Formats: sequence, C-alpha cells, structure tokens
Amino acid sequence: MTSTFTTSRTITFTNTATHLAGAAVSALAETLLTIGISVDKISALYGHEKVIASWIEEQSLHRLEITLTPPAGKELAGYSVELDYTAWDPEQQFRDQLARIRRQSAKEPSVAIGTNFSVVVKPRPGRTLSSQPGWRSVDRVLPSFAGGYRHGTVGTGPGGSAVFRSHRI
Amino acid sequence: MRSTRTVPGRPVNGGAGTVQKIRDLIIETLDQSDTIDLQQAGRELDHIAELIGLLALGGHLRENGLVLVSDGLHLTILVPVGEAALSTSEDVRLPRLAQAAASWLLYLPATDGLAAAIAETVEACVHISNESPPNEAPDGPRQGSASNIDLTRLANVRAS
Repeated sequence: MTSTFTTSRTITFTNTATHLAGAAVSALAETLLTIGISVDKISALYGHEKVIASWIEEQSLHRLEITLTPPAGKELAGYSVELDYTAWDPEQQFRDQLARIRRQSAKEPSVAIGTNFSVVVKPRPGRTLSSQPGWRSVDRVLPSFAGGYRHGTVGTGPGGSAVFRSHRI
Repeated sequence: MRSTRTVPGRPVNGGAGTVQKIRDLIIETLDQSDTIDLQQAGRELDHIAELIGLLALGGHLRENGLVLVSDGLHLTILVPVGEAALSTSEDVRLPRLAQAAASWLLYLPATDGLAAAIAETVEACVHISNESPPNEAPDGPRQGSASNIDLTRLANVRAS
C-alpha cells in the first residue's frame, strides 16, 4: 500500500524573523543575567526584539554583538549572534537549542557588579540596516569580535538560522 | 476547577504580542470579580511583563505555564514555541470566575536561566509568586450571601 502525507502550513519569512529574533533575545538576556548583569538593565535588550525581527525580515542584519564594560574598565567583547540567510524551504522546521546554550552559559565567568552592556548591530556586506528609533551610528572604536567559542545554534527556520558565540573564553 | 489556555509564541507571536494576550486574558478573567482591584492587578502585571516575555521567548512556558489561582479557579497559561506553536490554535476563552472571588495569585515557573531575576522581581508584587503553584484551586466563595450567588449559573438553570 502506498501512503502519502502532505503538510499544509502557511508560513512566511516573517515567521522566521520572529522566531530567530525571539530566540536570540532570549539567549542573550538569559546569558547576561546568568553572568551577573542586573535584571533592571535587561529590559533594554528585551525591548529590542521587535527591531531585531524587522532587520532580520529585511535580511540586512549580519550580527548582534554584546559588549561588556566593567565599572571604570575597558569595553570588551562579550557575546554575538550571527545570522545566516539560506534558501527558502517552507518545509524546514522551526527549532532552537536554547537548552544547550543555557548549559554553556552557566560555565561563563561572572562580571563585576555594576558592569554595563551595549548592543551593537552589524549589517550584511552590501546592505544597510533600516533606520530605527533610538539606534544611532557608533562613534567609538569597538572591541574585536573575531573568532569566539560557538555555544550553539540559537534557532533555525525556513530561510535562516542564528549562531550564538561567546567571545570571553 | 482546572483550566488550560494557550497563546502560541514564536514564530507566531513575538514577545510583546504574547505578553499582551496573556495580560488581557488575566485582566479579563479577574474582571469577573466584583472586588478584585484591577488597577493593582494591571500594575503588578506591567511590573513583570518583561519577565513573562522572556519566559515565553525562552520556551519556559511550553509545559510549565503561568498559573493563575483564585477562589475556585486554577488556570494554566501555556506558550508553545517553534513547530508546536504553528500546530496549536490560540485559546484565550475566558474561564469562569465567581463574582465574589476576592483574592488571586499568579505563579511563575521556576527556570534555570531566569530564576534569580524572577525572585528579585516578584518581591515587589503582592500577587505574583515564584513558588510552586497548588495542584487544585482553593474553594470558591462561600455560599449564603447575595454576593456569592452565581448569577450566570442561575441564568442557565432558568433558561434550561
């Protein structure tokens, strides 16, 4: 006997952008809380979810970078989430590896009390990030985010995926 | 009475959209009471809105949801994410709460990544808890006074 199974789900790249932005913000926020960033500072990151989703949807966002600045200290590379845009395949599943990333983040060293963080976004080569309220160009020298230790895939979905890296190890 | 409601998370709804639907469901549920202070409920829910968003985005509400407990009510709110969110229909039907219900408590699930943040944040809230929720709803309002009569049920009896 021959059997067939047909899926009929209606999804768009907006779903992928929503999925990846949500998973990325979750991974970054929980990691920052785990290493000792105060909970009242995390709201700034949570508030960026919608803007990040917009940049992913327009496929202009290459990388989210989190810098850490201890009190009276130098700004250092912290964490990054790098986006990869792939061919559109509506049958590709929406997945995440947040449990794995939580296990990895628990091993990260704590920061000094009062440490601040900044969110920096980098566009894909040849693309421009659309203008968003509250975001401006950086006018200071940023730490290098070359290399980094791969903690896991934040999420995957039709047409895109995101990888989480620590730059503190 | 135990009830479960579902708000699909990412990739169907982002964090803010999910939180708004959960907030509306809780406020509208509590609004059935004649005595519960909705303004205070709104303030406390706003205070923990970002935490609820992070719980939802992180997939922490997939199986162990938010639990709203009031007199005669035990409501679990789940937020599936990923593929599960796509195959789940939104269900935000209003659960019944007695007009005489006077107290309420919202339980946030214990999680690995957010436990400390939750513990710190709920300290400022009278009606939000990070302890384990009870398995059943506490008894409903006592019968006997006019304010405790379930008018909806009475109307249904009359209609039948």
